[in-house]
Amino acid sequence: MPDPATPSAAEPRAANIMREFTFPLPRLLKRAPEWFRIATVLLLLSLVALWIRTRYIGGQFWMDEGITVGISSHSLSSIPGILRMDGSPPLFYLLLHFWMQMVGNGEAATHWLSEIFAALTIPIGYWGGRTIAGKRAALMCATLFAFNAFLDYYSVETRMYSLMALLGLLATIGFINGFVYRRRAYVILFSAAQALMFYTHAWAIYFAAGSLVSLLLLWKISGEDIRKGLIKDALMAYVGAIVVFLPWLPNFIFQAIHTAAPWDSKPRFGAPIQIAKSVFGGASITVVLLLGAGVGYSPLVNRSARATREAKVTLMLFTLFFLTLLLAWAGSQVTPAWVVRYFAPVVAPMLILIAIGMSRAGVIGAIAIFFTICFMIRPSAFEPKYKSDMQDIAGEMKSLVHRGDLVIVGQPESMPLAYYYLPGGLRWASTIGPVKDPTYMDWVDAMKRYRASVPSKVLPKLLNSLKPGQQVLYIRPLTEGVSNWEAPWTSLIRRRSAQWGAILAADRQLKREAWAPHNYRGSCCIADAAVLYEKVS
Amino acid sequence: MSRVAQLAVTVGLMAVLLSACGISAKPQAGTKNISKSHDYYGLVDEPWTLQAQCLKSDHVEFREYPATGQKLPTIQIGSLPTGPTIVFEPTPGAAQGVQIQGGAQGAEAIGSALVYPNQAQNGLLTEVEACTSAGVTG
Repeated sequence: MPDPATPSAAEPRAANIMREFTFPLPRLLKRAPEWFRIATVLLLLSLVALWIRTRYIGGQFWMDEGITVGISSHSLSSIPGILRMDGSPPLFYLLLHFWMQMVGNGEAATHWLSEIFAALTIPIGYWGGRTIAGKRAALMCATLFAFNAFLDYYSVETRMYSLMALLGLLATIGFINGFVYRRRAYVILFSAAQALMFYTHAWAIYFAAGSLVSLLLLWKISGEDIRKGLIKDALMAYVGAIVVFLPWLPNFIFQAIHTAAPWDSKPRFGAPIQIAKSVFGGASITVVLLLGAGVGYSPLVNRSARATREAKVTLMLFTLFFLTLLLAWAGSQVTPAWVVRYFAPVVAPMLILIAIGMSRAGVIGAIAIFFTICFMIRPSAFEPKYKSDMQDIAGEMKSLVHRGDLVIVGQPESMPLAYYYLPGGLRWASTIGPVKDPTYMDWVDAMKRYRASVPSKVLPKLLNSLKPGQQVLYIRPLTEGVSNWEAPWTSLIRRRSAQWGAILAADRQLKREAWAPHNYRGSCCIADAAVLYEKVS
Repeated sequence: MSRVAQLAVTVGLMAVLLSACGISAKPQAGTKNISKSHDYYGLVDEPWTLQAQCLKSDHVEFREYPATGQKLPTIQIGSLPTGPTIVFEPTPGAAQGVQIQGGAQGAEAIGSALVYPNQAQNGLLTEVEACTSAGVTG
């Protein structure tokens, strides 16, 4: 296979305005075979990335992780049925189920699964970069995947986002090689990665739609060399992915109708800032990356340079992430599903695009990559130290609660997290009503059920079920910030928590026994407070 | 002293002098009748200014008063028991602290405010919550 960075006679590569930069290697390394040098670099990058990303590997879970571990704790056959009520596709939950059977369900144990997916992006990023744009771009790719804020953050989260980023990377490699370079074997890679993305997270649909529109654009701007067989290959790829997804389709349709995220708000125009902060790690590093890549792509201002296949690769990488985000943004105006963590599938096209640009920017690219490493090498700079205080609450309360006591959780979807940290044998209710299985959140028509649940009717029944001497632990979210509590679902949680709290505080049968946490250390995500009451009469 | 050094010292001194421009003399603490001085800037910065404006523009009936006890600034919408009550703690952290200790179980913490829904209708509560959120960040 020819190195894609090598220009063909028919398509002269754009003249590079930047002086090439060669990293001065020691003589010993220069003598070593190339595979050894590359393997050494990749190993070093992986080790540094792992060192950075494992500072808080044993950190406490937050709400979503509690749900994920709770669902994956069920038997293999019951996971799909539970997910029907949760709203997610099953791949990560099934993988986590097997993983937990091997290594346990502790925080560090389960975070390692995400850590592995994030680490895999480094060698695969190198391979992808090499197939798309040559060795220099490959090294830049591997470096950017090793020093990336999004992957840092989600490598220690027991959720599907690092897996989704890895699959997004494979799909991007497959797409560019398969459709732009017309290496047909890669079409299979794209199709398989797309199918697995469908089974991992709902944003796969936006990625599929974004890639499809990109493909149409490619068809429009390309000559016969690319067009030949393109439609057939594209049909095979997309139909293949959809066929693989068919078994899950009935569940997907049910979820789409009944479990849409009522907790999210419509996005506005802050997406570029969100991306700069959460995907790249802040404004400074974003400027460095964009400057480096921008210089590398500067030859594209020439019309002749825009006719090259390299320019088509650039355009496709851009449209892959841009259209995915655009479609997701537009879709979220109807059904809000726009949060930073969902950006996972577009991390790869963005990083590859930047890496290729920087690899063409000579000394400037080298300086940009140097500053990127300097910005990002701070251990745990982009990992949350404290995701939630539920572990602290449970730590204080576990010796005070007894079998048969009632736990009421103000935010219904926080229940699996509370269940994870509190001792067994407790009875559970949320501010919607009693809950039989606290290991997952039943999102089916949740908003309708929540609105219909009147505190003055539901809570007294629960309190009447307690015998004198039994206790009720009321856990409610801290809501002083407004950004998390604007959506219809979350604003109702805030209100219901107060209404339930008022009834509990006014009940003369209840005596306040304890509260927690006594040492609130902050929280990246959702924090809670708990009060323990004893029924005295 | 060389010319360059002289110039540097001059520029430095000029910078120091200029940095003091615009500073007006302030009455010293303890001055008699200080509040009547034209240089006195002390004022009561009510925490409910934005919220009150918002409620007024929504034509919601309310009154402001310092609550008994700690004299925390308070807004009563309508009348009890159906009207919500908004109590302003000094900081969002203080509101959070009260809530953590179980001292405001019947309240929603929004910024530094504790909003007690009482027995208010959902429509009114939505308006009150939205107005209380005015100016709150985070």
